[in-house]
Amino acid sequence: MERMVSMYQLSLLRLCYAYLHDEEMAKDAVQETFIKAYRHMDQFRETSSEKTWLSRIAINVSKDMRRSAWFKHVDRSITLDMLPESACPATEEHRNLTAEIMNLPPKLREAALLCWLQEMSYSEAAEALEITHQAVSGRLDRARRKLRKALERSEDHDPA
Amino acid sequence: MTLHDEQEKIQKAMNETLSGLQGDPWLAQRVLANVKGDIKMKKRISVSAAIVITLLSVSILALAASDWVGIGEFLGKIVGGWTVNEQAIVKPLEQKYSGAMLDLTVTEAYWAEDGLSIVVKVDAKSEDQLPFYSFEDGLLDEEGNITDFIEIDGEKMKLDDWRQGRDMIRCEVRPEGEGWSWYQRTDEGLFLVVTEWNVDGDAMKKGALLEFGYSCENMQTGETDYGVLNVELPPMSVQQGHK
Repeated sequence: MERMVSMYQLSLLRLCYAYLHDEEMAKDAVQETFIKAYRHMDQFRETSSEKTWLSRIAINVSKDMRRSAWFKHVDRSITLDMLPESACPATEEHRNLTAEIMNLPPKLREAALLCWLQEMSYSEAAEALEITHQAVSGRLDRARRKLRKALERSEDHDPA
Repeated sequence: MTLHDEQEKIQKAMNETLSGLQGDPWLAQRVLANVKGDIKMKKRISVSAAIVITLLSVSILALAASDWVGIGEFLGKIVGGWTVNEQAIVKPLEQKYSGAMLDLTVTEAYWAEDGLSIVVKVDAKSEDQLPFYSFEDGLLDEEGNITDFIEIDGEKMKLDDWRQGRDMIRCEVRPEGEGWSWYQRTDEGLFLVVTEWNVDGDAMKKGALLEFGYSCENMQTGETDYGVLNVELPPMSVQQGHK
């Protein structure tokens, strides 16, 4: 467990924060993720990676939290001033892009975070979200279209 | 930009931006202690969420004491019986949107100090489908699973009697910005009240086009559909205090 926490805590924290938009809830979600993982270690199949398996649990924990009554009635959109202070310099364009990804509709956001942030393949993301490979592809396509302007602005300002 | 470049760019942007999130050096120990039952996990809640819960609770209690008479009067009762400024409310709007499973009709809009609210009537396209809002009273348990009962007008009904074999279509409409949503079920059907906070006042006075996201899911088949409602509003003035 110590090894898993050490390897994946930060990655899962970023995933949960990007999904839930709340640092405290994200920390709770990460803790709950590892608790569930520990309790169901026997169900972990070697056919998927540890990261995929943990990310799947984390997304489901985050979705459950998001469904909870009080959270549902508050649409927690992210603005730039709500983002945590970066430990390393982040350009305004990068912060804008991050905020726009975090403000995607939930189903697009799930696919985007798993494939782009967690670097999962479409198949792994499909397994984690319990949808088809085509559905993942479709959601990412819609997400890209929504993010087009932010991506172009980020490209303009990024050094080659 | 290739897809690979896009992905790299997004990863870099997010990792830089979220680099300030700090891990918990004692997390492993807490997890193990929790699993062993020594410590109950605290459900942390942010201060802003606590404030919202309090405000919502007050609002919902007021609603429970009133009859549904239309959004202007509904909100007027919540904010203490203000008379609605005619220019703060637009009805009927009758802007219709057709999704894969549902027909959504925006019937009215109301601009008050807490934001712009729209009322959306939700109708299933098929007689074999039954739309519902995720948080209808009694319908979902704490873990988001459908229970065996639903409350309509304060009366508990067995879900199967209400469903009559139809597929249940969970639906929600949400503002693109910050806001909240609620529902009302009447003899005429299911209505969602969706409020967007912090609308652009100058744009509202000239006439605005607002976006609201909708999504729905067939709980029996897993089919989903989502999209955007573009609501065109004429020039409006904000409801402020007593008329």
